[in-house]
Amino acid sequence: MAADKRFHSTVATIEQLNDCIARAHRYNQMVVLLVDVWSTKLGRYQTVLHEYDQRNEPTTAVIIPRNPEDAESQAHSGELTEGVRQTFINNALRHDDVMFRSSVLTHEAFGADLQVVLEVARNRLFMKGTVYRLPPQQGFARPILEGPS
Amino acid sequence: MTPQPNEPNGGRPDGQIVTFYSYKGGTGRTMAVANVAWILASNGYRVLAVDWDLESPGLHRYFHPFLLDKQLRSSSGVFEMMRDFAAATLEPTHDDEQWFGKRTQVLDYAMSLDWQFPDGGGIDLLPSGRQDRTYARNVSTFDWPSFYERLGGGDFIDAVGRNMRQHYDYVLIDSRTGLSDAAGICTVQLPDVVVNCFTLSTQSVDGAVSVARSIRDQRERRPVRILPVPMRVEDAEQIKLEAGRDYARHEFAPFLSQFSADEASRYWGDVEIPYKPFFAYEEILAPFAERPMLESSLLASFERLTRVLTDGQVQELPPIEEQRRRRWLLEFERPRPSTANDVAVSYAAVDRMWAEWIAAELSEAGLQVVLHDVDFATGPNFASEMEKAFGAVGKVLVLLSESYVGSQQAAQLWHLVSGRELAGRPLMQPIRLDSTRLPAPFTDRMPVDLSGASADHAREMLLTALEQPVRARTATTPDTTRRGPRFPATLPPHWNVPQRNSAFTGRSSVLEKLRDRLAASVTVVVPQALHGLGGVGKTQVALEYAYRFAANYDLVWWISAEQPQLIRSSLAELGAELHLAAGENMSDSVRIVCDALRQGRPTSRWLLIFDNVDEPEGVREFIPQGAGHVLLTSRNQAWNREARAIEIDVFTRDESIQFLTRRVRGLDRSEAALIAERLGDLPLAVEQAAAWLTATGMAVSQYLELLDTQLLRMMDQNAPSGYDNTTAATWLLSLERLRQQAPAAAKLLELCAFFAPEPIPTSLLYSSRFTSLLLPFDPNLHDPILQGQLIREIGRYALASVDSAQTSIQMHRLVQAVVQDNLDETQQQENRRHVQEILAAAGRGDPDVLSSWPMYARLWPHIRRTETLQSRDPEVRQLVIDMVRYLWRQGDFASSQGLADEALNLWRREVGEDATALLLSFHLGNALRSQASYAEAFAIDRHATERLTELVGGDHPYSIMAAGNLSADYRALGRYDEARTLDEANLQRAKESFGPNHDRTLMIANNLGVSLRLVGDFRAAETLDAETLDTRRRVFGERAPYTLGAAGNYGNDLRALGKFQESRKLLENTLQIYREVLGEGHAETLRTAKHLAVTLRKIGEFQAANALTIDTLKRYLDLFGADHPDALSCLMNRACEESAMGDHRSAEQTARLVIEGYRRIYSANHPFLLAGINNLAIFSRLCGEHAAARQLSEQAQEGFREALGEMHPYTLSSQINLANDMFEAGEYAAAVTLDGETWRNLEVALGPDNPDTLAAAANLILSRRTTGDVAGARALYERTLSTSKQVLGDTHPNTSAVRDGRRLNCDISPPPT
Repeated sequence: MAADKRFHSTVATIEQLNDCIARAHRYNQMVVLLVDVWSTKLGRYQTVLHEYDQRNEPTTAVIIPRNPEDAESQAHSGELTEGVRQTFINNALRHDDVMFRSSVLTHEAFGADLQVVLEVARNRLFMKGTVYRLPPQQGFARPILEGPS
Repeated sequence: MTPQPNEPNGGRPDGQIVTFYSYKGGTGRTMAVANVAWILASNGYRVLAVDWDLESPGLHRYFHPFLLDKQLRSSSGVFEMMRDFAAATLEPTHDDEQWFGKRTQVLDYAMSLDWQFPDGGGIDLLPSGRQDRTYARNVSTFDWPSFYERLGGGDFIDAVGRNMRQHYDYVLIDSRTGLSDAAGICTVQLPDVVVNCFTLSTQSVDGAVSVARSIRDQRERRPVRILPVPMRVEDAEQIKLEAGRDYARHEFAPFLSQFSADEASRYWGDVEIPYKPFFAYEEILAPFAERPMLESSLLASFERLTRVLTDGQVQELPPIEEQRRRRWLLEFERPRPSTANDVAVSYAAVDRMWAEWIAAELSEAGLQVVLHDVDFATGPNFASEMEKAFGAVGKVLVLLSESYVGSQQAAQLWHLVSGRELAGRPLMQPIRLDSTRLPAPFTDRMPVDLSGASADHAREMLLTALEQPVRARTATTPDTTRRGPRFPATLPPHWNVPQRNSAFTGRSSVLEKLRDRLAASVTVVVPQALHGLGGVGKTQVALEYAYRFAANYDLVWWISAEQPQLIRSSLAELGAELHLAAGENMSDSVRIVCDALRQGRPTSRWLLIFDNVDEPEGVREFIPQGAGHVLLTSRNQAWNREARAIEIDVFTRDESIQFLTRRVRGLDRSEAALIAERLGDLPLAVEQAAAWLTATGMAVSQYLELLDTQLLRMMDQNAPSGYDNTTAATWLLSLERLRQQAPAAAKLLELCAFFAPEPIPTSLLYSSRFTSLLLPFDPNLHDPILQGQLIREIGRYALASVDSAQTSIQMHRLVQAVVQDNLDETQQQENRRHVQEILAAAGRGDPDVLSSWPMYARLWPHIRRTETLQSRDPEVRQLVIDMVRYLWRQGDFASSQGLADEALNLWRREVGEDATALLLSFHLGNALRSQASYAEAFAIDRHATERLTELVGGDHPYSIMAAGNLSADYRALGRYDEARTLDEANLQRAKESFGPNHDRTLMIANNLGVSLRLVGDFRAAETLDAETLDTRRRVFGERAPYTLGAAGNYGNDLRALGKFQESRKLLENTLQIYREVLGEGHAETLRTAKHLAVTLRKIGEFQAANALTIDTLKRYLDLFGADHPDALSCLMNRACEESAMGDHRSAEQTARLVIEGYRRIYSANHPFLLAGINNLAIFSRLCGEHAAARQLSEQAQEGFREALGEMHPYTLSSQINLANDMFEAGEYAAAVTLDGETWRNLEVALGPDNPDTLAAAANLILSRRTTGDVAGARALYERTLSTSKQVLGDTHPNTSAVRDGRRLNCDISPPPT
């Protein structure tokens, strides 16, 4: 899906998360955390994710698919929602509805969400990322129009 | 030059970048880009058309028949170009020296149109960007400041510009509107030429000019050519059109300074783009839509614009072969294929949930849906609103139901949509929601029938009808995780709402507002409170909300909330319904329920409705947190401060009528309106009336009679279902409770019942007169804080409503009737008298002073209803008189006259015609004169003057005021001499009676000045006006409005006497102060500007005069419209200026417009109209129409002679022109006689040094020469020339005319009467 938008992509496991984010920072890359909703109930994952939640990463996205057809998930729906909320409490409070998607229900929605995430993250990189090269000459100020006072 | 196809760097000169910009949208800018591109390419040029309107791209639509990727789903464009560059700057690996240059290659992003242009021409389109689902988000989150400041984006854009110029002859950019970054790039950084598009509204012109200035300032070192282009020019109203054109030309003059006046004129004529409705809704290129070579076509205007752009290199479009043109026109008209974002759903408000459910289902299938309430747009704009809503969609779903087919718009919409369909491509798909029998026209095609269908089946039918694949829903999706609405045909699983009111009517906007507000708060419960008077239908609205939006909830619980214990037991019932564990006691159970709801168990989609709550404190503990919704109804106004409150008002008149006519068979709309009016549109009362009329079959007239005599009993009939009590009973209960708990508040309410059912200013309630009536009930009321408490008490029982700022209190007419009825006759009379006194004692100020008007406006609705006119109390009678005066002053002449007439009749009968009554008739006279009832006004004023003189003596202030009126009547009737005589006598008396410096004395002096001017005694007017001005300055100050008015008069006198420089100085100074004191656009400011323009013209400064007139005229038209006397006289100034600058043809046309206007306002021999005819005569002669001119001159001269006498300066001026006509016709003998007579009379009337006298002399010199009287001519010549040099200056046009032996004309610009 990312390739469709002319991105290169690699996959990393949760153990590599911190390295992965550090590398992303260095090289202006974007990270998408694909989180299994049950993992917020598993201690070691929960700890890593909760640590991640402590940092503010505007170009890293969290996508949590939910399967409405899975009976077991349904039975624990409230509990799982609370687990997500607890694990990603800062993300939840930050209200960044682009980068934090805590309940993606269908395959189509996932595709659409991912595209938006990638595009917006890229636009954010333009604001925050490390600039490696610039045009040969510099010196054009941003034109600003003025209307009637 | 023969254009050659350009090759990059092939030795050809670089191309030009031309940006089309408009400050506001809707100018037709994009259409211009597309058409100019087409014309250029057809002349062999290589053209790049760039869509830089990133937020709302549309250029591709004009080219869609020639594009492969018509929807631009897979084509990159401007946005990708910027983005790819930005991304490259962030790439860490740099092994590529060429990285920058590579990304500036515009050819990599542009696409060619599939059309064979002649001579190697062609169009490439650089679209805005790839139109996929993320496009809007991409654009809106792209940060231009970072792009420029961090990434060096400015240099990139500059390089892109260079690349464009290398590859194309012309690059046409369609820019974003407004002041955005994109607009800045397109207008400041990139272009060689900016085509600045605007419409002729003031706002649009002002915006375009400031942006032009802004561009010029930023491009000082690299000047850019700015071409202002008026677009969408409609020739609907000629005066406005002309004023708009003048305004634009004047404002843009600094940008066209390279042109001579003639060239500028030609330029403006060339570039104007007319408005053609045909092109407003369809994106079609003019070369295909119009036949070639039609002068007034849109194509022709684009050809002219292209000619200007190319400096004449391109003249026109080589015609397209006719058959080919027609064939491609069809391609344009073929509807664009149905795409993701184009299903519109038309629904009746009641069926909103169905619309939302359908929208949710279709969105899931990948379609985009817009919802459209069928009753949303009404009135004359209906069709164009519909075009906007449905013009671009591929499918319109029409949700047919009982309410839908009952809507007045439905059939119209049906016809409109089916009218847009092409054979084989149905645009409309009806969908049936219930089993209502469908009337025509809704039967002309087969609907999809969802009534009675299950959710899955309904979904399947819907998708099939839209030719969408039906994917089976895997397993049953539990309701708890659904995001969209539930299927609307079934009620929520947990539900205890009382029965729906089948007669529910209207209230759409309240329900929609409620829906939006509840839906907006996703994370926190924000209770929404409906409050309002008892019987206004709060509960009904809540009930209807629950039913109408049921599909959005899985749990809806109705709680009667009058008492806390009822709330508890109702919540406990909810606990049982949800199978929650019961607590140890009631409070525990309630807590358990609230906890469950907060946690979203069993659903987070819940709605609790607390009906009829009293104090906010009483329910707070029962409102759960969580994701659900809470709705409250209450009579208590205290909710205003608590939750988000929505006040439920009575029905609108239309809603009442709709309700009554639907319920009562055979009732027509006018009868329904009468009933509704009598019941004050109170929903409960309206419903009772409907029930009564249906049950008894009583005639409406009889029913209305019953309401008059037995209102209380009628209202006490059985309460309709859904209401606990009858209206009257509820109110009386509240009143009783209030009497016990807060007797002062009850008394206040009693008094309010005798005002009109309109807002009563709270300042009246706090007045000492009012307070003194309440003190016996509560001695503490001296303290204003406690008075505020009273008003809150009343709000609590909803017997009256207090506005949120507590500035007024209002009682419903039925509540008033019930309260009045509850009192005996003596109490009623006493209260009525108190109310009259309260009104009279209110601090209302002088009706002549502007700042008093708001208070008068608040008192006015209460005057008649409180029987104020019947009072004999002198203070109350003075209130009536002041009110009449106020109404007149603020321009409501008819109401002023009506009130005065009515009061006068009553007073004459009850009190006789005393001085107070005669004073009132003085004000009546004003109202009549202002409505041009001159004869009536005259009769009344003469009677008043005579009677007052008898009664109180001629020196009494009333008598003097009445005489002042009488003189105004004389003037209005054209009896100027009598007016002057009366004014003179009156001024003398006023000086003795009021003193020489009194405001009234000075007003009469002002009137005498007017009279003197009208009888032609300019010198006496000048002396008097100078004196008046002097006194006003001393007594009232330089900047007082009347002082400024006096200065204006004096300035006019000075001009009339030829003292132009003095006039100019005074008027300039006065105008300056007016602008500071009253503002640029005030009527008095404009009037002074108008006078100054005349003086400037007389001095010979035509350009300055014209600039001032253009600005003033535009403001007049904005302020008054074209039929106002001042606007017309300003327009006449323009005509005179046009003529003075040599454009006699325009002057003649303008003058004709003015005369048409004058004829609508004035009688046939009014001096203004005659002055207009006089001026028109001059312009006609200068255009060479001698016969017409002669006739007009004679008409003016005879008219003046009759109206003003033969010695009046206007008569003499018109004679100067008549003599000119004679001279022109070769009647030299007649001319010399008339010239001689005129000159001698002017010497007497205005003096030998007056410019008009000099003009007559100049003409006489010429007549004498021509008739052989050389000696007489020479004698007069020396004298006239030296006087003219002395008075007007050596270089004044009139002095030159004397020297050169040219005849002079005399236009007339009369000052106001």
